Amino acid sequence: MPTSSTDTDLTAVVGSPSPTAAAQGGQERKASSFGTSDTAADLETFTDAAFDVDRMKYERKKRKMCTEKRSVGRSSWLEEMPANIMLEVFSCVEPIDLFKLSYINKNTRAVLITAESKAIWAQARKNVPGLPGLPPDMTEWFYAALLFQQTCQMCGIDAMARSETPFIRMRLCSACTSKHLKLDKTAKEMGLFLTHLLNASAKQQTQKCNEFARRMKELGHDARDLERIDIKQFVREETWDQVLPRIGMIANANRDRRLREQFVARNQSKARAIFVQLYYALPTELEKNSFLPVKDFLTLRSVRSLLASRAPDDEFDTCARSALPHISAESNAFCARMRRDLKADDDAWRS
Amino acid sequence: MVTLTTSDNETFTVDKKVAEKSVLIKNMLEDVGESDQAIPLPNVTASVLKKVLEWCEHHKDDPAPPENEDKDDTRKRTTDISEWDQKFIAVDQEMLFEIILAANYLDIKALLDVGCKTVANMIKGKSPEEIRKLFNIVNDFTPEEEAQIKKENEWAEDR
Repeated sequence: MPTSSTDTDLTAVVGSPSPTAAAQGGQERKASSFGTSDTAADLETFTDAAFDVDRMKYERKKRKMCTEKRSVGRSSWLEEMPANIMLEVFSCVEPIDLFKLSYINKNTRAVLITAESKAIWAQARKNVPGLPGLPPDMTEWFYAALLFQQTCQMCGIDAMARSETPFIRMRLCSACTSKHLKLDKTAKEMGLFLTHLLNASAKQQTQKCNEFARRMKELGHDARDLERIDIKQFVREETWDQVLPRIGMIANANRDRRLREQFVARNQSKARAIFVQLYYALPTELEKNSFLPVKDFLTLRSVRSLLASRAPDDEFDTCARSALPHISAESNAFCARMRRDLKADDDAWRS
Repeated sequence: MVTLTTSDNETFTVDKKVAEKSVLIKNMLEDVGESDQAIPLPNVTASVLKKVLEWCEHHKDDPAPPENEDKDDTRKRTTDISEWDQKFIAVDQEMLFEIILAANYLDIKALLDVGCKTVANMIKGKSPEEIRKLFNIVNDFTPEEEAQIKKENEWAEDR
């Protein structure tokens, strides 16, 4: 890279062109510029600038082209990005970041406070899970500041959000709150009392919910069985004895469904295997041709009980093996009955 | 295989599958058909293309993103970046910028996403001054203007 252009740019950033510096290059240039900086502020600006300029070839090119107005306006690659890329970047951040970006320079501010930027802000709000929609009486900008800017809007010091922040639509530090928010003393006391009540009841409810979950666990239900049950609703209104029959029913149904889903595929494939096994074990074509239909196979008592099996996987094979003779016997009996009926029909038809 | 020529006249020969991560190149190949001719990429330098192709090589077997992705803008945009991509994109700002521009030009949506998310992550949670410093942005507000915009968000105590 040509050092001379770098030098020109550097001096521009520092703001006080130094002929000696411009004439030199590389490390030397830095040393001499340090020497010519008369104030600490200059020095600081310079070091920052030098640090960044080394990494900003692109910016240097740009600066070289518009030497006259180097110190103002567009100067960073962030700003050189095509609009679609800027939009893409902005759509990944949160409202507070847009708010802060609106302070960095005129250009970005102009982009972010126009009506056209509405979609950017809307996307940024979506990036914060649970954030309520924009209140109709607020601007995006104000909303972001109110909720996320940790600054007292009266005096500018750091300020956490307070419970009354959304009501007065303004973020105040505690000093400004007591100074400017003229709360009636009795109202304040009542407020404290009510908060206390709310906290106590919330605590009680959490305890009840925990107790409830513990008892359900004792009854052999896990969290999956309690899905879609609004425990809080029950706990709020009823005692354990009233709740149990109703919740127990739902939980049992949930558990049954869960277990059924868990075992049904395994059991069905086993039954299918047994069916095929029995079929191929038949010695003659005649018997194969008159084997019982699948539909009837599934209605056999022993097959039904196999399909309904809830045995754990490691015991299931043993169960299936021991069920096999029964299934075989039942299907043989069924086939025999079927063949007899068929034969009777055939005889009747012939005579 | 596909041959690509960069702005600084270097040629790269890559698998068609790798090159076609770029929708631009994919469309070009479809338009001109199979050909030994190198595809000129006048907007990309060799050092950047090398990096971009490294990304394409690693992601060549990724499933194509769903077509209707853009329409579904009701969702939160995460800024999560896979570990490999994070390592890949840990480059200096100049290279990051070049990669983003190249991904934009070559129309490689997923790489563009990685770049934009990286920049977004750099911005997130920073103060205006920190953002300016990070991207070497000049504060072009006059002190009066700065005071004015600050005031827009504060209530002066004597008002």
